[in-house]
Parts: sequence; C-alpha cells; structure tokens
Amino acid sequence: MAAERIEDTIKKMMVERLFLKMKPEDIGDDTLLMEDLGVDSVSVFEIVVGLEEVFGVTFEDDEFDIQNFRTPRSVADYVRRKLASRDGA
Amino acid sequence: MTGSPTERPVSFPSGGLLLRGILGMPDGARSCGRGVVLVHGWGGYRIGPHRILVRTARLLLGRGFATLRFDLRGRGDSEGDGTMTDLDGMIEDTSNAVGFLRQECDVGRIALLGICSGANVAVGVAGMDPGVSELVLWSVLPFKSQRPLRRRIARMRHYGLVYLRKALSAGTWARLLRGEVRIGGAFRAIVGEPAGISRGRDLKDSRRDLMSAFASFRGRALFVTGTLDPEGMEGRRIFMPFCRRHGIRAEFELVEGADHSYYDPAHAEAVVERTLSWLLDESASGGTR
Amino acid sequence: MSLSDEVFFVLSGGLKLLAVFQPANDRARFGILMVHPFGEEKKCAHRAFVETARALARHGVASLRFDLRGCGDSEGDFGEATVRSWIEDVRAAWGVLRERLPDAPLGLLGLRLGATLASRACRDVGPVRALVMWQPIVEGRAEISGELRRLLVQEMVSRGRAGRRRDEIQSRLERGEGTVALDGYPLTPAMYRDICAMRLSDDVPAWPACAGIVQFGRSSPRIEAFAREARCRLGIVALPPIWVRSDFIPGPSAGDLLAREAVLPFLDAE
Repeated sequence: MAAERIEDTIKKMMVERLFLKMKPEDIGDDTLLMEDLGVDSVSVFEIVVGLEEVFGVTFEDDEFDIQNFRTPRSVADYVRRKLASRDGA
Repeated sequence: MTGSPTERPVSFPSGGLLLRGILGMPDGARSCGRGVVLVHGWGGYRIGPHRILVRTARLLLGRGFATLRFDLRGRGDSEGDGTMTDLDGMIEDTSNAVGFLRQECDVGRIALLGICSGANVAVGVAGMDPGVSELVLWSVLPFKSQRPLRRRIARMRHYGLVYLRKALSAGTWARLLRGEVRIGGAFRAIVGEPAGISRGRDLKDSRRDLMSAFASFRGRALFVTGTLDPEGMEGRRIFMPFCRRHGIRAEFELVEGADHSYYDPAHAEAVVERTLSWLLDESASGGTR
Repeated sequence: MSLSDEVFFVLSGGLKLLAVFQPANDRARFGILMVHPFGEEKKCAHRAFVETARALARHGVASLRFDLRGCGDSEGDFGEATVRSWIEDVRAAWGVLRERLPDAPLGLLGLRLGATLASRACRDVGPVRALVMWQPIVEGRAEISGELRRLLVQEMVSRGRAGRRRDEIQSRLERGEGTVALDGYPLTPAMYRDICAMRLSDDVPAWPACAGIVQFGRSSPRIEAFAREARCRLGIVALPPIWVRSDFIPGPSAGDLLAREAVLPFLDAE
C-alpha cells in the first residue's frame, strides 16, 4: 500500500488543528491557504506546531518565509526539504 | 464647576438589557461641546485590541471630548447572551449609547469611532441618527452581503463543534447525535441550545439595508485601513466609490504595513494621532447639520 | 434588566484598578479572586471570566474580577508594570474581596500568566483556601520563547519573512535594550526578566491543600508530570482555548460549564 502523500497528511492535520469545516480531500494541493481558507497568523502558528509534531522536524526562526505556507503543495515541499536535510545530516 | 478629567463606570439600558461602559468627562462639567462614543469589534470588548480604545478615549478626554466606551450586549461586562448577539442588536446598543452620552452631558456634536465590525455598527447608526456628525472608521469591513461568496464559504469554521467532537469518544458522539444522551454542558456551551445550531441567519447580517441608509449621511467620515489587512482593504474598495457616488464627505487613509488591529505600536500611534487631528480639525466640520 | 454585580475602583500603589464584585445569589459560601492573563489574552478571555463569575454566583460563590495596572480599564502604563507590582495589585484586590466577604473562605482563580501570578500570590495573601489554575504557565522562559516564536510567525504572515530571530530578540531584552510588542503590548526588559524567572514549582510549598490545574481541551505529558510532582489535581475542560483570538464567543452555557467543571470541584474538595 502506498504511503500517504505528505500533502494529504498536511491537509488532515490542518482540518483537525484549525477546525476547518471541510474534508481534507476537499482541499486542493494548490488551494491558497490565506486567501481561500481564511488562514491567519494564529492558524499559521498552529500549522507550524502541527508540522513539527507530525513530521518530527524543527523549523528555525530564519526559515519563516511566507512562500512556504502559500498552499498545501508548498508546505509539503518545505517539509520534504526539511526531512531530506534532517535525514541526510 | 471645573476639575480634572475623570472616568467612571456607568450603566445604561438597551433592548431590555443593561450595558456597561466607562464615561469620561473632560473637566467634571456637565456641558461639553463634543462627545465620542467608541465601538469595539465583534469578539472583543470596550477596551479594544491592545487597549487602543482605552488609550484613544483618554487622549480625547485630555483634549476636551466627553467619551463613552462601552460593551455591546453579550460582550464585556454587559448583560446578554453573547451567542445570540447580532449586528442589529449592536446597532441598537450603540444608538442607545449615543443617547446616554447626550443625556449625561450636553454634547453639541457626537462622533462615533468604531474598529473592525464596530466600524460597521457605527455606519449602521449613522444611517439612522442625524445627530451623529462624525464617523471614524478603523478597519471597516464589507457588510456580509457584500463579501464574495467564495470567501464566505471558506471562512465558516464550526470551531467549537468540531472541538467538542474531538473531546468526546466516537461512541458518545454518535449517541449524542441520536439523542440517546442528554445534551451535556460542553455541547450546550459551544453551540447553545439545539435550536441555535441552524438559526438560518448570519449574526453579522442586518435585517436592514445599511448601505442605503448610510447613503444619506451628511456628516464627515474618516476611514483608516492597514495595507496588510485584506478584509479592511476590501471594505475600503467598497466604501470609497460608495461615498463618492453619494456625496459623502469622506477621507480615506492608509497605514502602510498595518494589520487589521494595528498591532505594531508605530501603526497604532499613527492611527490614533491621525484620528485626533482629524477630530480636532474644526475647519473641516463646518456645514454639518 | 438584571445585573447584580457592582463596578468600582480598587486602589493599589496610588493607581485606580477597575474591579467588578459579583455577589452570590444567596449567602456566599466561598469567594474567588479572578486574575486575568497577559496582554491581548485578557481581551479574548474577558467574557469567559464574566460568564464564569455569573454562573458561580448561581452556585453560591461570589467573585471579584479586576484589571491589573496597565491593563483593561485600570490606570497605569503597561510598559511600567512588573510582576511585583502586579502581585501588589492582587493583594489589594484580595483585601477588597475580604472586606466584602469577612466570613467566607476565599480562593484564587487565574488564567495563563494570571494563574502563575495567583500561585505566586499565595505567599502574600491569606489564608488562601483554594487555588485554581487555568492553563498555568509552568516555566516563564519557555513560555516567552513560544510567544516570541508566535510573534515571528505573525511577522512572516504580515511581511513575508520574519526578519529576525528569537535569540537576537532575547539577547537585546537581556541587555535591557528595547521593548518587543506582543499583540501591541510592550514586553519590556524588566517584564521579560520577571516572566523568565517564574517557575510554578517554586510556589508549591505555599499552595493551599485545595490546589488544582485545569487544561483546555487536552493535557500534555509535561503538565501531567507537573501535577503529579506537585500533588495537585488536574482537570480538563472541553472548551477551546478561551484566551486565543478565535470565532468562539462564550455564552451563559460556557460559563456554566466552566463553573461546574473548572472551579467548583476544586472548592468542594476539602
């Protein structure tokens, strides 16, 4: 059985932590988090904490760049980079 | 009688409920030329984000304005069920606040200062009370009916209900939905009585056409928006042409880099200073009814 | 129209603090002093405190809630407040509650930093018959680090990038340089130092026998370990974090839930 896509894990985590009234599968990979889902800074902080808990990564302060949090796809790419550098270290 | 500026706690009735507020009198005298009623935002209370309404009221008080900041029904220390508070109720409360200020000190001119949905409330009151001569609108939002449908759908989060579902076991939740358990405290706390789940009307909607009423506002208005406040910028995009179209004397200020609540102290200071100077600009106020 | 509470000022250190006394519906069998959280959390949590106070009144518990200096409608400059001055305010408010209820047992209830202040105040007021701590800050330094991180995320959302790091901010505060705005409230070097020095465990010896912690939504292994060490009760209330900006507006039912699950059990434990 294929491992769950990181994008899908992220969507599930977001629906749960942000109490979004929608199913994870209804969120597109390129859905704009802020413009389409109304994600604000309080929610982004929840996402950061959620990502760290779910994926076991740590985000450094100087890695906080809004481009990484635009869509589920950009968040997933960011997580993949973090995992690669963690596991490659 | 003269004295130093004082603030005191007050209460006044509105819609059968008792509202609480803080009344500021500039020098203890009962007759003050001008008064300002400050209106807080949807989920807040009379102090405003980072006490901006307290600080602004005190600055105004120091400049000779009578001030009243108060809690809308169901908010702050006022009476009322906060889960039922709607925009029309808030407008009624603010209208009564204006009446209370008039009664407490013989103000000649009344200004309304509102932040976020409090600014929308102020617009609602101005459309029905010709005695409101000035409006200061910080981060005014588009009214609900003016928001794009897409945005309205996306922002519906039944925060408390999903939260509660997580707190209860799956079995208990299923039984609750089937009516097999008595509705417990947590459920009621979050969604109110069962009938309250689907009231069919958004609390932030008015039963009246507030914009049509506002079209005949003949006072002057100051709109302030932060450039990094998407909802506020949307509000500005709606109100700017509207005021132009209807001949409403309005100035539109932008605070570069500011968010919806002006959390950066430099931005907050800019908003407050601009507001003070605008209100004190007597030359601009001639001709109001 | 019926509100039975009274609004007035309490004097503390020459400053007027706004206070609201909520009498019990019948004879008060207990009195609670409520201590609010830090900064913008106070605004978010205010109504929950009010609803809780009103619900407690229906259960025979009177309460006094008040605004610490520099907060709410009280006098004073937030930027000049220190933990010590806030403890002084708690003492002053406690004195007023004692005047109102000369015969009833009194307790302290606090939320977040207010809970940690309430815990600290047990040494200074007394006798405290119950201490109820809602989501207390256990380690001040860790809490500040988390708050600064939240600030950086806010900056990222507003401006695209955070632009600075926590260690840079903390170094400056430790050197006494500059002030950081947390949701518009100035975190001064003095307050930073005070909060970093706060550890809930330091106050345990002064706690009353009836001391309890309530967490919102879920507990954590850390708070569970702390409660075990401190030998205090730990409860969870199924509500969202009331001190956070959110869509949740507390109504009378929320107040009732908080009174019944997050306050009364800790008062009746004796």
